[in-house]
Amino acid sequence: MNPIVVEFQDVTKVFGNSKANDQLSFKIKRNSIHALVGENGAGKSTAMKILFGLVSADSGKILIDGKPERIHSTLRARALGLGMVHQHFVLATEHSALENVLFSETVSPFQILNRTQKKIEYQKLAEQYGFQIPWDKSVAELSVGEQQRVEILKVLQQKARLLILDEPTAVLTPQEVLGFFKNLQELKNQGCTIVLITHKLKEVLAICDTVTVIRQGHAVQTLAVADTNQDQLAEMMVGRRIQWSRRELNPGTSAPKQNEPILKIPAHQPLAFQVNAGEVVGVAGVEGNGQTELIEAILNIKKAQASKIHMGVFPEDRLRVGSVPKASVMENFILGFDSDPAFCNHGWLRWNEVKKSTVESLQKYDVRPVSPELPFEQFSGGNQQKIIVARELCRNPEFILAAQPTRGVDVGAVEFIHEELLRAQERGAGILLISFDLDELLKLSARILVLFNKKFVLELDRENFNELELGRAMGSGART
Amino acid sequence: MRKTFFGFLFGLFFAIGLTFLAGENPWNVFLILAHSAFGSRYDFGQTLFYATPLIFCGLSVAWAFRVGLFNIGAEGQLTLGCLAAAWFGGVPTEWHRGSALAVGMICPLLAGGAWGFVAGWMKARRLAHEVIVTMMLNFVAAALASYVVLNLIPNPATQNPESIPLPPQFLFKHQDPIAQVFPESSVSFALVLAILLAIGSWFVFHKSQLGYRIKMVGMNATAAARAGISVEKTQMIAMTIAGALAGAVAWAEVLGSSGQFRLGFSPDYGFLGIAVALMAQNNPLGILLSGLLLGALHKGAGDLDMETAHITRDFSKVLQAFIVLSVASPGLWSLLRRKFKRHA
Ligand SMILES: Nc1ncnc2c1ncn2[C@@H]1O[C@H](COP(=O)(O)OP(=O)(O)OP(=O)(O)O)[C@@H](O)[C@H]1O
Ligand SMILES: [Mg+2]
Repeated sequence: MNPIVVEFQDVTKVFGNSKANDQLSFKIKRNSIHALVGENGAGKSTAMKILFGLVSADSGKILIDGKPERIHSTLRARALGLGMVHQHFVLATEHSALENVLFSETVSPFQILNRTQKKIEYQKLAEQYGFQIPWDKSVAELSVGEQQRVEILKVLQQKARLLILDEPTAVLTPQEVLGFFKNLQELKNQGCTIVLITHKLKEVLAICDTVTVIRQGHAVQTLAVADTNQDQLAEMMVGRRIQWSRRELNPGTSAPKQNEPILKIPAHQPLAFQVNAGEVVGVAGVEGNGQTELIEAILNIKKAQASKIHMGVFPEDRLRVGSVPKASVMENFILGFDSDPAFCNHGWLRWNEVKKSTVESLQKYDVRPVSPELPFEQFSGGNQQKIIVARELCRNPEFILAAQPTRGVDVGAVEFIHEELLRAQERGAGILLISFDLDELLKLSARILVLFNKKFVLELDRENFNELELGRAMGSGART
Repeated sequence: MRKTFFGFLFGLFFAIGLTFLAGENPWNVFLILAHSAFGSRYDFGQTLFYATPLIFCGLSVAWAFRVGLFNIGAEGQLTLGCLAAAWFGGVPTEWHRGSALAVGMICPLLAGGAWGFVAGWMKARRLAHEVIVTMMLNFVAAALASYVVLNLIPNPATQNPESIPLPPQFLFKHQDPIAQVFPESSVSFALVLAILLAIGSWFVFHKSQLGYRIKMVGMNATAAARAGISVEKTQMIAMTIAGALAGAVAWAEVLGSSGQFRLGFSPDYGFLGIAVALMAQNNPLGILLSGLLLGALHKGAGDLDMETAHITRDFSKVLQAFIVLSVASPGLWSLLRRKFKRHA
């Protein structure tokens, strides 16, 4: 058998006047876990969409098992044994989780699917991966993490021999990631090949065998993970040495003004807490333990007292609730701010001003391409996230609700967003940071609250941060 | 744009080609069609006369489309508008020219707007599906019109199902520059007003905060609501304006030409408006063009009846059907897909 499952040969794809893939060539070995890394907009998703038949390449060849293949549709891709988990979920939102997985079954149109039996089957698979899935809820009601699990299960169920995973771990909790990776190893041992796109270089080093670095649509190098390290990978991704910021981070230990709560949910309510001016409060917790309720509660406050404090909100689900995907970036950039006198003059919008301010923000946040008129959905996933962060932060809000603020952005941008958040905090903003990434919480927060079973069960100050204790509280709600 | 143009040509020639099956010479049919739509000043005037209500209705449908709603109700809204204008025929008052014109022009907008508002309100506040609501309101409007015209303000001078003619103070007639350019034909100053409203709509859509909000609500209501835009309010405003624009058909039909409400005057302007808007992809300036094209077809097909042996007036419907199908299918499909996704 050919040891190379997939080979890209000079694949080029041009969108408008930018090359998403530029003579991209690399090989994926059979029976390995192969990572694709690169900056936001480097062309990773595009390459995988070409492989999966969702996008057609302008030129170049793709070889499967050594044979050139024209993959025009996802049906063809699936017939070749490919399965793909998409960065932007492809789920029928009005249907239940169970139905969404059922949709992905390839059976004859006349075969009857036994729901009960299938549900048991899927449940077994989910348990094996340590995923909890509310089967009967409609996808629209699921949190992003739950949606991610459905999206993954949909593909696992197909028993593909080549799995393409486009940022599957962006919204999973660390425990879930561990369980998931253990199972990927297991799949590999059973003969599967796995392509993993991720921005978390730690993950690459932990479970991948080989890694291809993509820069501006071109494969810089493919190397064995054993022969490399984080710094080298990061350097190859951006094409120059990077200076990790060594700025002393000081998240709110500058004596937050205790009696100046910026936002407060009073004690008699189930999720009582308070965020003071100039303080970053982190919320840790396994997903589904009250995060959705917490965000909901804060949004209600926002609605009720719209004018009193200026709030910036990063939604967890940027495509569904945070943006209008088909509208231009410019239009998305003033979503929620269209009454700002800088942009609106007696009911008429000043598009020139909007454009100028959008371009400034795109440049500041290094969003590429800097095209304010391009539809939002045509930006790469990480760039979309940066646009939303830019929109919410550039108006100096007094309170910031940051839910997974660095979802899907590359290493450089993570640093940048963290710094912007801390700059806002220094300015006196109160920040509530909800994240599954414990490192992020430990790095930024002055205080961490742990959510368990829709209640805050633990509160730790920065001096007393203790990963073990946090982990225990997240897992069982136990205090020590 | 190019797709639209080729779609139009394809539909036109395919439908004309069909006349071969009826034993006509398609080239001949095409010549008659072109000649009778644009052949003389009078003919062109009649084409413009048909185009005017089509532009109003196209704009009406486009306003609703942009907020994500499907306005099947332009027909009912224009019926109410015309009824509101014709009503003054039955009011025995001495009118000044100025007040008559003002009242005659504003009341149709209010009536059409109210009809649109009802649909918008039921959609936004009571969660009724706008397609069902506007369709039902069409029936109510039609029944209301026949009741009012036949029982309350029937024309005593004739046996025709029409209302009492308006006093001359209401009509554009003698001071109408457009009518003077096209003597004998029924086109009126309303055409200029339609063009102005189309240009105005373009500015509102692209330059105003209202237009922006309408677009955002139409494209992603959840995100718009999160951003503090009131989805309900925006939908109701857009539907009210849509209704008022359909009501403006009264300017062309009642004030500009007949001066009364003649039952059955509309060859389904409201429904044709859907085609006009779809062909123009809701671009108000494009609606001027697609309105003119459908107006020309309507005028042209009318003469086919007399000048050929086998083709009747209904051929105009066949023509429209093919043109709309070939031009609008991409737009229609994506719209239906969106609707389906939202309501399934
Ligand atoms: N449908 C499209 N139309 C136009 N441009 C597109 C489209 N899809 C992607 N692009 C552009 O192609 C480039 C590569 O995008 P791609 O989604 O492949 O990046 P990526 O490497 O997956 O980035 P990320 O890490 O942010 O997900 C980007 O500049 C993007 O703007
Ligand atoms: Mg991507």
